[in-house]
Amino acid sequence: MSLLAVTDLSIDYAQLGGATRAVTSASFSMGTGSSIGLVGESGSGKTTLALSLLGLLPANGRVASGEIHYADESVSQYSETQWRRLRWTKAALVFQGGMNALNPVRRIVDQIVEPMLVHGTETTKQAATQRAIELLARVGIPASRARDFPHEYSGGMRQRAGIAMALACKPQLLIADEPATAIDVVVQAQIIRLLAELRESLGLALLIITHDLGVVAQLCDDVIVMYASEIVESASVRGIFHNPKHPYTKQLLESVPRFSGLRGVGAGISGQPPSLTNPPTGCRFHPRCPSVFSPCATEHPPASRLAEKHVVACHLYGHD
Amino acid sequence: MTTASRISSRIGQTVLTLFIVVTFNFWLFRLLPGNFTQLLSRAGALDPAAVASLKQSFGLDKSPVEQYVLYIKNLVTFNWGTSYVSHQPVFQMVFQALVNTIVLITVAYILTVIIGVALGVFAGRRAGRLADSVTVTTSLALWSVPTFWLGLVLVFIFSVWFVGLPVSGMTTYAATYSTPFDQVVDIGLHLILPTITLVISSIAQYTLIMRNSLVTVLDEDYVTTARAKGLSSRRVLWRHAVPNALLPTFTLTWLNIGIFLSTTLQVEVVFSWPGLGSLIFQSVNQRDYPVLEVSFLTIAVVVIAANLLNDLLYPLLDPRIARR
Ligand SMILES: Nc1ncnc2c1ncn2[C@@H]1O[C@H](COP(=O)(O)OP(=O)(O)OP(=O)(O)O)[C@@H](O)[C@H]1O
Ligand code: SF4
Ligand SMILES: [Mg+2]
Repeated sequence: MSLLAVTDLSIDYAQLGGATRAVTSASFSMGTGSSIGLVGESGSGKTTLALSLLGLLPANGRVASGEIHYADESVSQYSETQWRRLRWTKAALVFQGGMNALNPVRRIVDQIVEPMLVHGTETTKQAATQRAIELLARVGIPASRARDFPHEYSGGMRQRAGIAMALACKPQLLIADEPATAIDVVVQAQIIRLLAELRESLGLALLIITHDLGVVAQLCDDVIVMYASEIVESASVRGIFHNPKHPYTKQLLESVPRFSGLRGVGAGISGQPPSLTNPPTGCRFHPRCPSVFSPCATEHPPASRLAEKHVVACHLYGHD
Repeated sequence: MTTASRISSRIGQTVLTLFIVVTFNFWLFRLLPGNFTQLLSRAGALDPAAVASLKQSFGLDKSPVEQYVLYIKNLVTFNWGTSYVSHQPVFQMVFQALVNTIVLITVAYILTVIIGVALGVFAGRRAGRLADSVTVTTSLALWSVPTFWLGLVLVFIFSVWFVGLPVSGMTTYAATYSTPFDQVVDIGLHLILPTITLVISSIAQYTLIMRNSLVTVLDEDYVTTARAKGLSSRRVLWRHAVPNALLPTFTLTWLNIGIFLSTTLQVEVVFSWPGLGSLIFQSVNQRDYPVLEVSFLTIAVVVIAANLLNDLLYPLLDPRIARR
């Protein structure tokens, strides 16, 4: 049985002049200790998808259709109280590095202790504080810094503290949204190593949201590529890097110098990112696709399974 | 900078500001219209010998610099002169008025800030909804009502239609109290209308600042973190959002004491509250310069002290300032 299963999930944002569909018919599942990278350019719906997994969509967002299951429990009819019990105990969030994810006026240790007491992970303040300090030590922050305020930490330390905080209620799944963005490369590498090590030692499952394919290569088993709210390709890391099928995935890889073998700046993807309020017809990538052909502008490409783990939604495949 | 050196440099600044205000005050009253000795004698012409003796007794025969030194000396020794009108010591008059003003302003300001912040939280967490628009519009409407007029309307209503609440003074005229508690109750009753006037006319700023600040804070990542942790929405609001949203309001609270004080002084006149406002009003009418001079100085000191307190207390709320 999988830890998390998302089936045909669609999410809308209500806006003046109609709804924007930020996630369209997404399906994937995660097993215990698995690690998936969710990649795609800005605005493709990655954060929206992540927030929906914890029932944290903004006020104007709503799940339009589809299902989310944790183990065999569906969350579709969850009340706010049920969501609250699920949050941080089944899945916890790690926000973008160095950002404002920690409350500036509260001490780090108190921010880690708080969810333990609220969820009853620890029953006494002392025990919770003790464990908070252990968690900080585990991510490489000495006990002497536990009572600091966030502004006294460097960006990398804040990111580590965010990870320690996410571990407070012993979740099985860590959802990390851009965990290595906005911090310098050396620290970035340390954070990635830390996540890999935690995954190993705690058997954590990781859902890593990122623009950075390098992070995916180091941390993940599988990759999901999103484009304009849709999953266009999913495969193992090997499959994506060595045998990419979707023209968008290929361009994404070419845009990263270390994978394309090009020196200097990567090729980049030409053309404008699509609008979600008024998405292109047929295949959403067709205005930017170098391989575009007759059915692309009018027919939506169906998903075809090329290998056990390799699924792609493109007219180039699956029409035997 | 260490906390100690920050505090001492801030106090140094305050002393300097005070000195400038005192100096300004000295020259201002030397430049005001009216012949000093004439004013003092309340008569048209005096015989020259009397003028000379009066000038001497006030040190007016000395050079301006000597007068200034004497002025400072008198100021720091609380030798603040006597009223031209009542011939009471100015110190005594201003001190009593100041105490009465402090009673009114403390009660009214605490209520204004608390109710203002509460309404701001109420509106901010409902941003964009009807309750929010109604709160914001009502606050703005009340803000634009002239305080003086609002006070007069209340006086009218409570002396004509709903007789019962005192509309004037600080205590019932010629009352004798059997216990000190009765006196407190009497003062409390007299406080009600001026306080309502002040709260209504000043609340909008606190509501709006708190509302906007809360709306901004509710969008911050750490609020999403707090929600993601599975905390109740009440806890997210009061433990995570409000403490951050309070910071701008806190500064406003101290910086605005001057403005609130000036509103209070007006309201005192409307309700004949025997504070600094009434004293100044009366002294202006009677051109009682010694009283005015000290009253103005007192107001300046109150405002400067409020700024100092803000700077000294803010670090307690915001750790980012505390350890810098
Ligand atoms: N509260 C909202 N109301 C309306 N539209 C929204 C809202 N939040 C996000 N969107 C839109 O939904 C789409 C998906 O946004 P999302 O933040 O999920 O993208 P993302 O893939 O995480 O992008 P990024 O890489 O920039 O973080 C975008 O077009 C965005 O403009
Ligand atoms: S379906 Fe057509 S347009 Fe879309 S990616 Fe495939 S080839 Fe390109
Ligand atoms: Mg995002």
